[in-house]
Amino acid sequence: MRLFRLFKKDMAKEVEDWVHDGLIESAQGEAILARYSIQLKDAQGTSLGYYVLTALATLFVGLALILIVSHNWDEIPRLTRMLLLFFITLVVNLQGMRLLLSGRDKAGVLWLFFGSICYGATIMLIAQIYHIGEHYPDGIFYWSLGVLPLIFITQSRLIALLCLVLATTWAIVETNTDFFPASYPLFLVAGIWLAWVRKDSALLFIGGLAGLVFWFNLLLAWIGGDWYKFEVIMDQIPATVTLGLLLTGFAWWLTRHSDHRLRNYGQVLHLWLMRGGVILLLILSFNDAWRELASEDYLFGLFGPLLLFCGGVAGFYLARPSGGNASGPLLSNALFFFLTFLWIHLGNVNDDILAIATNLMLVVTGIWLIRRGIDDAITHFFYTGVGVLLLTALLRYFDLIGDYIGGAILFLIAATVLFGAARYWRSRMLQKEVADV
Amino acid sequence: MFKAIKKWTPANRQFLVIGLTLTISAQMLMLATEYLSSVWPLWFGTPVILKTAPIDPRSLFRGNYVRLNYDISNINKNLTQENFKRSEVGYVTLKEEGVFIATGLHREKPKSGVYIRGRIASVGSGYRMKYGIEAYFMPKEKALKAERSVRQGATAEVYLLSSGKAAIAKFNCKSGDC
Repeated sequence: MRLFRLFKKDMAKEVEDWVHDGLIESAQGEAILARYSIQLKDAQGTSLGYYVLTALATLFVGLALILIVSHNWDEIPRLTRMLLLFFITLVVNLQGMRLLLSGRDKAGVLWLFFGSICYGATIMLIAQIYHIGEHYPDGIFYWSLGVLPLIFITQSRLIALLCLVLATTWAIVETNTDFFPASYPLFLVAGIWLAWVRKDSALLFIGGLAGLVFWFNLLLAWIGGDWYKFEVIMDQIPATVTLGLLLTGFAWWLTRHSDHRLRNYGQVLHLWLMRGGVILLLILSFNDAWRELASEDYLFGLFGPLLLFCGGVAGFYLARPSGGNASGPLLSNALFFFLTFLWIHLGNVNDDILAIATNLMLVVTGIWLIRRGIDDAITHFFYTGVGVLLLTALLRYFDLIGDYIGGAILFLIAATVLFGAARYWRSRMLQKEVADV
Repeated sequence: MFKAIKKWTPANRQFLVIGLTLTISAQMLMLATEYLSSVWPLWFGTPVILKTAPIDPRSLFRGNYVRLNYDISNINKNLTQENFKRSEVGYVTLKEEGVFIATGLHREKPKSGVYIRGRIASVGSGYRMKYGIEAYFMPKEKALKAERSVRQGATAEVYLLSSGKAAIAKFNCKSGDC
């Protein structure tokens, strides 16, 4: 059993209370907590709370500064306004440097964090004073670029997060103005590097990987638009699913890593990929979605299914040592998507059959989640499984595939699969009880 | 070499001093470059007056501004022999007829005359151009006033460098409210 990471602190607090009440010795408490890669001192969250609140307060002061700048104080001469903000940026950054050098790391990082916001506010102020309207995302890009070296120097999660948020904002507005954010991965890789090598931050790690998937999709749309505009292409779906399969294999590989931080990343990554996979299956459970997929042109032709095949094989290879619960769902999803996209490319697609197959995939996914939830005592797997089954039933009740009879047949097939799974489960439990006796 | 990289941690004083000094200097240099590239056309450019019509939006970081739509923002396809794609750079030659008007669109920088450098924003029956002078920042009340008085006409005083780069210096409503 694994303990969901958000509850680890509660676990540490609970064990601390047992030690305090004399139920167990401190050494026993540490031994219990070591099973979940935590320590008794993790129950003391006060310094973290203080740091988070101070960081939020600093962020709010920074936002207030940007709004004050936005007010456009044209009563004050523009050179005075600019020099004032220039001066504030320099002094705040130097104060951060002084504190870091004197060993007050957290205070130093907070000052540099505020200095980074002042730096951005100064960029915006100069743009405002001199009416720079030429491609405004550039301002946000230079802001992110100015903060980027601080990730490596301070190795602070707070500053990495600021840089990642700024770079993502830039990538979005750059895309909205029909330009390709080519250097976005530079910022993402910096965030992932920090989470991988130095600091424990699932947010940076998963956020960085999600950003890379987003950027990869933008790249494909940019290629679809002949490298000068965005044109969404259908090949993005098999390519993104391939990435999902590879990342799932990677997540399972991480869960076997000796470093508990990386094991934790693997668990969170697997969880989010599973959610993404369920959402994709729910979208594709409508026959309209398959009809559209079958009627569109594919820029890369058979390359899409081929990618899915290779991604599936690579993902399976990475997941296989983690057992059947890891490789089984990965392989079935890889086969499902490979065969469906291959059929689309071969032509004469029946979208009703594809939609029915997708719904059955959802039912099987739901059963697997419930089984894992109970077998491994992972509550959220159990409830996600129940949610998937109920949502599938609800969607199919309102959006029939075929006519009423077709919908009824689908429900009966799903019910047969569920009954079959339940009976198989009961027989397994009985065999186990007999074996135990 | 890898041993040296491993020492690059915040605990290493020398790494901190060099790293932070370089970063803060780079930030200041970026700000100075932004400032100089903004004022350079105003100091050394040729002034031209362009006819414009403003509307009032708000920028996420820079406050309220008047978005300026110039007469020269829409270039008729008759004014050029070349085919342009979106995002391509183009040079628009200008001629003074009270205010400056567009006389041609070229891919190469003209050898003489008055011209402005822009980018093709969209291609339709003509070319929609952007010159980087489409925003004029004002306090909110002034921006709203300017928007109201626009129907009587407005002009912008723009400075042009020999590279074609433009900077806006002044925005004038005919009613005098701006």
